[in-house]
Amino acid sequence: MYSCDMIEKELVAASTEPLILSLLSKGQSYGYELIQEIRRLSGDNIRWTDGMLYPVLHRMEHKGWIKSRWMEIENGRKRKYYSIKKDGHQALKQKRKQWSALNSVLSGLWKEQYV
Amino acid sequence: MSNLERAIAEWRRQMAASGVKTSESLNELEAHLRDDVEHSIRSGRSAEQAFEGAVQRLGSTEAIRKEFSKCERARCRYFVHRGLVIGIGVFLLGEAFCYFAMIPAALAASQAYSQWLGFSAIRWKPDEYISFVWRVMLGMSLGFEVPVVVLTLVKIGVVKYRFLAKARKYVIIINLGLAALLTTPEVITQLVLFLPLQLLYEISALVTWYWECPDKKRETTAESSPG
Repeated sequence: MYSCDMIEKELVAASTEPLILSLLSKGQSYGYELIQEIRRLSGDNIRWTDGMLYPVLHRMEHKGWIKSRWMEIENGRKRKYYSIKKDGHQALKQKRKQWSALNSVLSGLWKEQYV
Repeated sequence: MSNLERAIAEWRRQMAASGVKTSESLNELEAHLRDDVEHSIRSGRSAEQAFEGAVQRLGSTEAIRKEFSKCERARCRYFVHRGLVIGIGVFLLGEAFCYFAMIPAALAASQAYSQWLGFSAIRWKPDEYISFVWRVMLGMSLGFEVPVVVLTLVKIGVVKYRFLAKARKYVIIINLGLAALLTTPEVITQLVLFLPLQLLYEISALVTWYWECPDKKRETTAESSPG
């Protein structure tokens, strides 16, 4: 079930918030769709435990980064849609800086070693 | 009710029993489950397989409950801290409001009242005056804390609007008692303390009602839609 390309648990946990913020900055979405989207974009290498996403979303909502509302979908069912708020954009900007810094350090080091 | 509906209802009951308490979270998890089941059925699985797969992907109930309660605790801590900070600010604000606005107004009113009755205005002895000012200021500052305390309790889920509405008659009595205890034995100053105290309670109740309003609407619609 776990391929060797699967990203480690700790890394997945650390990247959850930036991933959610990045996806929501493209438009509103709901839990199931976010999970599917991440699975698709990562080539199935990032697998969230579905139920664990919701506490994360609630925490982010509580921090004021995102907001939610129930919307009616077909056949009278309801779904909770999340969208990003101004503070969320700000947080994303910060996170983006941090991840880019990390990425450039690692890339630099690896370039020296292999080229 | 189809088998799938029965299975979902049973799953929901188990989640609630295991400690995922808020119906908001349960509604959301159920919506997720239904999304997943629908998706699996569309890609050719039987309803039973789809349901089992979806429940499995959701993860262990215990882990979910733990995460939600961690979240809830952090939320409580946040609101209690915020309540404390706002509470201190409001206490000082209450003192200032009382000293600069209420006491002069109350004294002027009580003077006018005794003149209207034909008495000469009450002459204050310095120590009486200081004790009066001190007591009204304390009463008022504590009164200003009422919305902070009530709304914090509402936010962390201890108190609901229904409780506030039921408690109203007792609060009126308590406030009248406080007003009688803390001011001079005279109606005007008592009213001057009682009215703001009661008003502060009513404001808290109104805000609570407003907060709960969309929640209720959501719940009833979500509960009545088996999808």
